Amino acid sequence: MHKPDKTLRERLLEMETLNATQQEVHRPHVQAILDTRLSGAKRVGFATLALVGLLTAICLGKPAFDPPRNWDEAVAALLYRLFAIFGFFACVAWVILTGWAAFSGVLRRTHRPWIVATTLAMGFIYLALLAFVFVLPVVHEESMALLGTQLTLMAFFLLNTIGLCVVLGTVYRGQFRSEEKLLEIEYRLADLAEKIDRGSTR
Amino acid sequence: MTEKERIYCELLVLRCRRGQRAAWEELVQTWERPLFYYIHRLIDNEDDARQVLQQSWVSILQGLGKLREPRKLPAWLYRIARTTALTHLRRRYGERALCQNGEATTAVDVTDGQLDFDNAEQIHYGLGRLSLIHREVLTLFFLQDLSIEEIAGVLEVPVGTVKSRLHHAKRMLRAILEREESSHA
Repeated sequence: MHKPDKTLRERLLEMETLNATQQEVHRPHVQAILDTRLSGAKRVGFATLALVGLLTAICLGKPAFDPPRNWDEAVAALLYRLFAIFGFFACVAWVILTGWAAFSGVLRRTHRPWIVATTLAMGFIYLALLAFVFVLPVVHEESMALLGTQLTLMAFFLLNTIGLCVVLGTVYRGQFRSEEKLLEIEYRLADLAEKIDRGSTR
Repeated sequence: MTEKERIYCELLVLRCRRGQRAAWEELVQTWERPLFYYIHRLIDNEDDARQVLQQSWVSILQGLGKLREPRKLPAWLYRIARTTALTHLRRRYGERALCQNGEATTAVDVTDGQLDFDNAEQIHYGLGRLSLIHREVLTLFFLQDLSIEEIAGVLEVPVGTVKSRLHHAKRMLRAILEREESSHA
């Protein structure tokens, strides 16, 4: 005997006797599809990145929290400190994200945008550090103002890139949200139409 | 499938594309049973069917962003499940096994007796005794998620072929069930 209030589809699906143990085994696997499992080599890669990030954070920590006092030009010193503070926090975020990926062996879907963002910031930081290493010794003798200009330019490009990413992200999210709202309204209308239709047929 | 359900599908796809974990879980929860039922009709072994379902979920997740018509989500899901199941069958048994399974239908004695296609238990039993191509088309038909046109799309055959297969499959199912009933009587 079957319950008359159920559709044939539902009753058919109920006929499928599922092995509870197997279902328990497979369900976490399906949920885990959202996250990328990292191979051993990739885990080592992430661990290396975390280590590099940690070393960079240590290098930037000192000028960030204990700035050099012998700089003549206050603006350049301030820019340098701001850069070091920004770099330090970006490195910390980078270390946490990559370190967690290496430790857990899973790259979570929700972490991916943050990893991309910190990677972008880290790219700029290394670019700036390269400039410090190779350009600073040359310009230090001549003018600190030139270094300040270079740092400002880098900060300008970094901020531009961040701004562009934020704007694109906002536009993208806004587009999704408005699309979602429209569909929700459409769904409610369809639901209402269905109810009216059901009411009129009674 | 009603228009409301189609809109719901589109909404679900949109939320999944946004990376909402809850939407993905909802998608899995909604479609796990029908997809498994369909795959299990194609693949006898339950563990293999589960693995095929899991592989199908991977393909679904990878392809969800490229789905052009989210309102046709059910047809797309069944198509992926079918492709994955057939790949599994080909790998395991080879093309010949599939063809042989299809040809086996001629052995069934077909009668035109009337039988109530509302008894889920009987249908479930009868489906297991049909040939693969008839079992497949009838399963999709009874699961009521797809129109005939969509079933044709999933099976990659013309609509006329689906209708013809459905007609033959129903007759064969009737024959099987009647034979079963008479043997019990």
